[in-house]
Amino acid sequence: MINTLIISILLISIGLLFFIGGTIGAIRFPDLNSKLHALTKADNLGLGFTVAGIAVYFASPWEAFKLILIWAVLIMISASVSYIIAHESQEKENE
Amino acid sequence: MNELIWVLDYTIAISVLFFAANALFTRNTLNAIIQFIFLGTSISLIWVRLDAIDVALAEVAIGSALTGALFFSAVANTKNKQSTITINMPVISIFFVLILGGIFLVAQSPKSLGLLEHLLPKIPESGVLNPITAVLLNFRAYDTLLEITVLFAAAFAVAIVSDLNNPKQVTSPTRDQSWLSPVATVFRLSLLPVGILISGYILWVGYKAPGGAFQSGALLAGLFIMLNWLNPKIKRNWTIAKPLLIIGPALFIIIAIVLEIISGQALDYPVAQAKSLILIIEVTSTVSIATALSVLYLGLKQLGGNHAKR
Repeated sequence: MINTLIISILLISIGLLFFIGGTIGAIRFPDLNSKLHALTKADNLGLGFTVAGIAVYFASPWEAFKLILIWAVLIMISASVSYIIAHESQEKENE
Repeated sequence: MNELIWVLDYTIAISVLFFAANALFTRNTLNAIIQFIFLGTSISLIWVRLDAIDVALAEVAIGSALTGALFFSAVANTKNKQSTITINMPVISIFFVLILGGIFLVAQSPKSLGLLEHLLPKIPESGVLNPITAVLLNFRAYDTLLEITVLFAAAFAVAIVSDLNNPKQVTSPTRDQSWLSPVATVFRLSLLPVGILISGYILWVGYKAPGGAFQSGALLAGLFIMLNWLNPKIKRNWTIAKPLLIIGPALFIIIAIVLEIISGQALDYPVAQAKSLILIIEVTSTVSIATALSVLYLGLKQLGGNHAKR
């Protein structure tokens, strides 16, 4: 029991590290495209680790399955949204 | 463990105050909107801590995300991006300390069960299992009716002022290709149906777990707005939007009037029919809420576009 708790804390901490990395990237990178790059790549990985940590905590295959589904949907949504943002900024530049 | 929870609670409480102050007193309007979104997210964390996941979902989806998007589309078209608010630091600090003291005092008082002890015995009469849905759609249905009507009126006002009625909608020729992009195809083939399925689930699960019309409607509106960004050529058909916008409040009011005639109490559902009545109201409200939020966003966007052209 204690072991799964430690593993889940460890996984969520790694996830948080990726989130912090992504946020620093979003703040410090110079232009929009690299900011989006930092956010989508690092945050999706961070969310993956967080989801894995929560799944280990619940230790139930059904919950794990639902969490992974949430992760998959969020990856697709963040990819679509960042595409929209990048595409619109390109349009603005072209005008 | 308990002490750690208190640390979390105080962190959330302080961050709410912090973001509220930042949103009010920052000089850059874009910055203020971002702080406002953080404020909404922190408030939704408070709702999570109060075990009101329904309200947390609604707060983060409508209060934070969609309102933030509305603010962004409003500010994107204003020329003056600097606010002229003068900052009175001593006054703010005094308020900050007072509010923190108030939070501390409230936290010291013995924990109250609130309305739960009165509510729980009445749940079987409500027709649903989730206490929050029972309150929102049955015991305080009047409040929800008014909320939906306010949203409906706001959407109509925006639709009238912006040119949503105008059949000639300008789209620049360079954008015609965007629907062909792989991202748009993936969105249309996978994310859109999955999203509609999820919003249906959120609506249905409101019967026994957190969920309901506002959360589901916000998700549908978000999907529609994304669809609009991916394919600007999509028809924004005001003739279709109008009945969709009306159906929720109209049906709610009709049910109220019929109940008034039958039993003399406007929104006092008979116990046997409570579940089906709530379901009908929830489904139609979801449609109207989704339409209203989409109309609000797209209307304001269009309004901004018209201003930019002048």
